[in-house]
Amino acid sequence: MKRYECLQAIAQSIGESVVVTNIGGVAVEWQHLHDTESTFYLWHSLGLATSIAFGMALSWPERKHVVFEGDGSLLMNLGGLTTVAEKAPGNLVVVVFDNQAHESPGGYRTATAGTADLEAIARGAGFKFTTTARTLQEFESAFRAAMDRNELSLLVAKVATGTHNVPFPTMDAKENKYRFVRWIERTRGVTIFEPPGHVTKMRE
Amino acid sequence: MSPMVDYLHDAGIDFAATLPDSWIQELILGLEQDPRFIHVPLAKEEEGVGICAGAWMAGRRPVLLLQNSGLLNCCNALTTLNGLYDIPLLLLVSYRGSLEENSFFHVPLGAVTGRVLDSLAIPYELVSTAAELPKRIRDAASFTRISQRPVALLLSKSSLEAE
Repeated sequence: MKRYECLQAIAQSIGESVVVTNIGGVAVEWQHLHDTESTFYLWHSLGLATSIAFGMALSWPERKHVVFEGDGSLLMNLGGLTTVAEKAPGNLVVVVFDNQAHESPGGYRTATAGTADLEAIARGAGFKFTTTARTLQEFESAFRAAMDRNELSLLVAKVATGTHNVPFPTMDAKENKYRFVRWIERTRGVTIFEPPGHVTKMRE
Repeated sequence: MSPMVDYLHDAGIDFAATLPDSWIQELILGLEQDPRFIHVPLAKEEEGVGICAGAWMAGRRPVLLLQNSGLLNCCNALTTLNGLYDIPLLLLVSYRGSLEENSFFHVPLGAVTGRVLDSLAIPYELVSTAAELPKRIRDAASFTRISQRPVALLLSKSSLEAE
């Protein structure tokens, strides 16, 4: 099973859920497949994708949040799973594309190539709904189940290494932030960026 | 109850991620019990930088409350997340290892804390007395929002004891 196929299979059903992608090939692939204002692409800070999505999910409980994680990233912040599970936001779905390698920097194996079982770790932390998918069919049905539930979920998708040959994104981090946060401001009807009222006040 | 909870609320803060230190335990307890805040107890400090970034983007105004040992754990995230995207964050840091310290094992932290913040290009101020707290917190919370950069307040023992 390839990660790109998994992303293709769910792209149309994700709607206006908030999506946070991990660093690396997954961000490039998703930007090519389904770039929307509701997507936040992480370009560094390995280990923090789920933490960021968790902070968003707690702050916007009415909206579904999906994070595309990696095995290397999750292994770097296993303690973070316990933090998430303690609060257990039912609007958060963690999808772990487990290619059993740190692919971007050269493909060196991670612990999931050996004994580590991320689904068992998540269940131990307190995640409510967990599953491991090894075929595209299993993945699609597990994703649909997770999206339909109102329970903190983690799906492990066992995928091969390899990034689909797609063009590299042209949008940088700050542009992505402005687009994403402006979309949240409009959608929620809130002010997040500080209006430049300070300057006005000084002149008054 | 710690009056700091009200100072944070008055400064617009409504989300707190924390890791305990004995100097700030009363404040953390206050945040946990106060429905005006979403309080997230952390396993390790760096995840708190990510959680607070997510909370800010989704419309909350977060504070990360931690010991300076935890600040050292956050250097990468503060640089590659807040620094790359320009994301604000109010850091409230108990200043262990300063000259007020009476535990020898915190001493190495005091020697490097200011220089680490300088290296990270994070503006910071030392809060010496409890009387300064409301204005310093209000100013720092405002500055982080208008600059979209992290800002740190180093909380001295005196500023926290006098409560």
